[in-house]
Amino acid sequence: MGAQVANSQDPDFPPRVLVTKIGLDGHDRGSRIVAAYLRDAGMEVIYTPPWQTVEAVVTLALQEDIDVIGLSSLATDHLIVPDLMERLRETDLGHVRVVVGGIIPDGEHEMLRSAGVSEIFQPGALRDEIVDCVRKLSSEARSEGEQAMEV
Amino acid sequence: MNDAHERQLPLPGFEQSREAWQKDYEEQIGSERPVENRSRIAINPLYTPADWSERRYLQDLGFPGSPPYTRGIYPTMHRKRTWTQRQLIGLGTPGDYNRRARTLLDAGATAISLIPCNSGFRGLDCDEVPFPLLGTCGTVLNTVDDMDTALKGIPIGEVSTAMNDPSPFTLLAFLLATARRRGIPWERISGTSNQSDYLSHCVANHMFFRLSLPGARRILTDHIAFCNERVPRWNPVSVVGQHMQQAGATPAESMAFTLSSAIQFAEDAIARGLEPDRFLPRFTFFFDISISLFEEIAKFRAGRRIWARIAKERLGARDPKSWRFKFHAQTSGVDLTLQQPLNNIARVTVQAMAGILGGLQSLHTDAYDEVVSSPCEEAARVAVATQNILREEARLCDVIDPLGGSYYLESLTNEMEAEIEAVMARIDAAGGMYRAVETGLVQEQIGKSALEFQNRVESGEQKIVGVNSYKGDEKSARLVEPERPDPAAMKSHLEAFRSYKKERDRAAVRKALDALARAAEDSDDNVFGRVVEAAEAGVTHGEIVACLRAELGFGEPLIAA
Amino acid sequence: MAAELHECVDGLATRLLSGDPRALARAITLVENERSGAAELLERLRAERKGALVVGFTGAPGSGKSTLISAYIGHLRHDSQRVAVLSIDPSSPLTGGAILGDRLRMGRHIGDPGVFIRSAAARGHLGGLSRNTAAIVRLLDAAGWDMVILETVGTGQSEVEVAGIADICVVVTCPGMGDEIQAMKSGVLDIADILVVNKADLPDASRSTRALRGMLQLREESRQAVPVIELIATEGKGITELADAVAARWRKLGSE
Repeated sequence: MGAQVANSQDPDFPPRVLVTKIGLDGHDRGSRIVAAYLRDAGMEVIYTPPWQTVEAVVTLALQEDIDVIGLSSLATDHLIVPDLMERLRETDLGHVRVVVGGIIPDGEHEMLRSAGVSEIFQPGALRDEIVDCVRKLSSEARSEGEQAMEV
Repeated sequence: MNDAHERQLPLPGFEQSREAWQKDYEEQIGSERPVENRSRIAINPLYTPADWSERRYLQDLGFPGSPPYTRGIYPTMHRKRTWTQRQLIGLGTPGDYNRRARTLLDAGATAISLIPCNSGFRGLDCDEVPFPLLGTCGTVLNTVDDMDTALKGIPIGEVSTAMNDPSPFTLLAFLLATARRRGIPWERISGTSNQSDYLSHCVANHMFFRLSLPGARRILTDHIAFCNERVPRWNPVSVVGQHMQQAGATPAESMAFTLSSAIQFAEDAIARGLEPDRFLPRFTFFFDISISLFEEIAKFRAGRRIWARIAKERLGARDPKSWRFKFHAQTSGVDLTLQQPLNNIARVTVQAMAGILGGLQSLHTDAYDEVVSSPCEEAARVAVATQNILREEARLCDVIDPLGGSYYLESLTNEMEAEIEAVMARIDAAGGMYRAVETGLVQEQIGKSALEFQNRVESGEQKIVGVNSYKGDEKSARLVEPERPDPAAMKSHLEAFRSYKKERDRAAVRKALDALARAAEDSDDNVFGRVVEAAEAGVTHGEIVACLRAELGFGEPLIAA
Repeated sequence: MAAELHECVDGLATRLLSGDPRALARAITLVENERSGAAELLERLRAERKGALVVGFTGAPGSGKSTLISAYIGHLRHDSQRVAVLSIDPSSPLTGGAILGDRLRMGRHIGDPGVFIRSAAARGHLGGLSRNTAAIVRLLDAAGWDMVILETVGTGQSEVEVAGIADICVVVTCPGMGDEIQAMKSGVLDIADILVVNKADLPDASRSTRALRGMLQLREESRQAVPVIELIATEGKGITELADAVAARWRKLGSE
């Protein structure tokens, strides 16, 4: 059914992106700017305040049928991202793509990628880079998600 | 800004020379884009007596220690008493904090500051959050015992302490409880409640916004009343411009919003029946210092002038101590970069200079690795050394307001003052700062300014060395993993905390929490006073915050994306 | 291909009916975007209507709709009612994108499995809702939610579309916004089953209430019984009165 029913290139169907922060840090200037970029690129952005728990993010992704989750991490909050990835998989949301932006020490990128994070954006990442990446990941998430629903 | 008559300077040949320069300049410069500073004020290539005349000296500058206070709030400024070196520190367990604080005091810091762990900011105890997040950005400190450990061997009756703790100010409560244990009278405790500005938290630092707006408003006034009476050397109010500037407010906006907030807090205190001359001398301010050197100096000078007028004319204060604009400033972390981190030392030096030349009373210099998280020891040392070098080697303390009289600086100070007052007028028109924050007006403006700046960086109009220009070999410029607390030490701290809760007097805890809850309902009681009693009875930070959240409402900032 | 499609739709419908929130979320996406299978799904679920009460909330931005809805949900959950919310936000006319932020104010319900919240963008649709709102409401009804709350875009003026879908329309105003005049002009007074004056702690509140009551008196008889309720959503004051008014109206509709 996947390819026939689901036309992920459908231009009338904007990507649904969740922009949020988990953990304890509350600095959300970067988040807001990214949310504005994505909106200006024609996407539908569900934007939340910081300090969402892992469970809350999973619930949001589920109810809002999210394609891509954009997490901003400035302190050490990225350390619990692997927990989020696991919970997403456990909840049948493994198709949802996750990108992390902010201050991530080099030594910890590998940990995030092997947990399933698709992309890591450092400060200085350009608007177009972020938008193009999210759009591409959204298409991927959709195809995968639609196939998964066949079961 | 320039009165026509002031242009008639008694300088023969001035106009002629100026025109000659103008002609040469325009011929040689070619095409150029107009320059604006961060506050959107146009900046000219040259400033002369035509922009600011010495005739305005007494009106614009005066002398330090008296109105208009532009040159400084004290007659002696840094010549008598250098600015306080107050480095913010916080990491790991109370024991970790104690070691770091004592090292800093030994290295010449003259006061200490404590940053609690993010879990604390969120109003939670260490047993309520995922373990990897504990103590990574601040010190885990949830009880009076923790405070006692953190301040072991530190003479709290002599050293000034800044507590970076929002409403309901449990850290001060633990400090007072510790003082009582050590037999130190509260009259000797000095320092500041650095994060008492709930309005700035609601707007721009949501992590610190624990209680609802009305709840935080009530507790702040209680806090002022309590401290004025019982802890007279403590500054219960620190009006914070830092968060808003870090969130993207321009320097002029951040000064305007800060002054408007101060007016709001003062008016609330006056409505409570407190005397301006009793509480205003204990109002302090806390600002961000960006790398826009002259703009920041002008911002601080304009701030001093405006505040003195407000305190006297609008708030009715008669004691000159009430008119003094005392402020602590911190070099802006937002200007620092992850790329080529050692460059940050140069940035911090310029920011620190701006603050010192701007006449601050207390300074925190960021460490070069502070972008990642809490600084490593070496970086923290360099940050303190920076201040020492500026004072001892560059001798920035020798002259009070050394840039005073500069045509550029005086002209800019006047322009910043006008811009600040224009923003303040908009806040007044919206019904005051509380209303303006409640309705999201301030948040909206900050969002706009933030996006504008971001666009300037993205377009390359604003160059950032190492990020969008002068990029080096990025591979060699990465940061190593920042210092993290020792998991074994944190684990045993967590166990100790759990034992503490089991072993304390449960009945006393229960009683104190009931009194606290009742105080929240009773507008004649002092909530902060009950917080202090609770701290002494062994109640934990998380328990105190949870109780007040239940009674007064959880802090939900108005998020406008 | 048709058989495959039929099987998928059937599978999705079955899971939706069994209470699987993921299936519901996917179904909403399907229907919102009119993808292949959407029509079949709606047809398949037509017989599964459960008669959820649909309450629409409309009102200008700044009137406090979302905060009010959040407080109302709290009340409903106390009564063990299961609530679904559909919040519509405007799309940017320039870029077609949207920031869907209404559910921010309903954050305290995120961990409650008895509450389902979905955000949708208006995508240029006028009238206060989105093109497929009615269809989404049918999905929520079929999925077994006791109450469906519909939150409109909130331009406050031509919000009459919600009257066609909701059983009960609550119009939210707040003092000092000139809402009373706007309400009168826009026709929103004619669709309101309940009028709310939120932020009733503001000085103009009682004047607003009086003005609205006055305007209702000038209209036809059916309008004159419309209750005007003063509320302070941030403090939860007046929520019980609102809930009672909704329940009363629902009973009346049931007996008509």
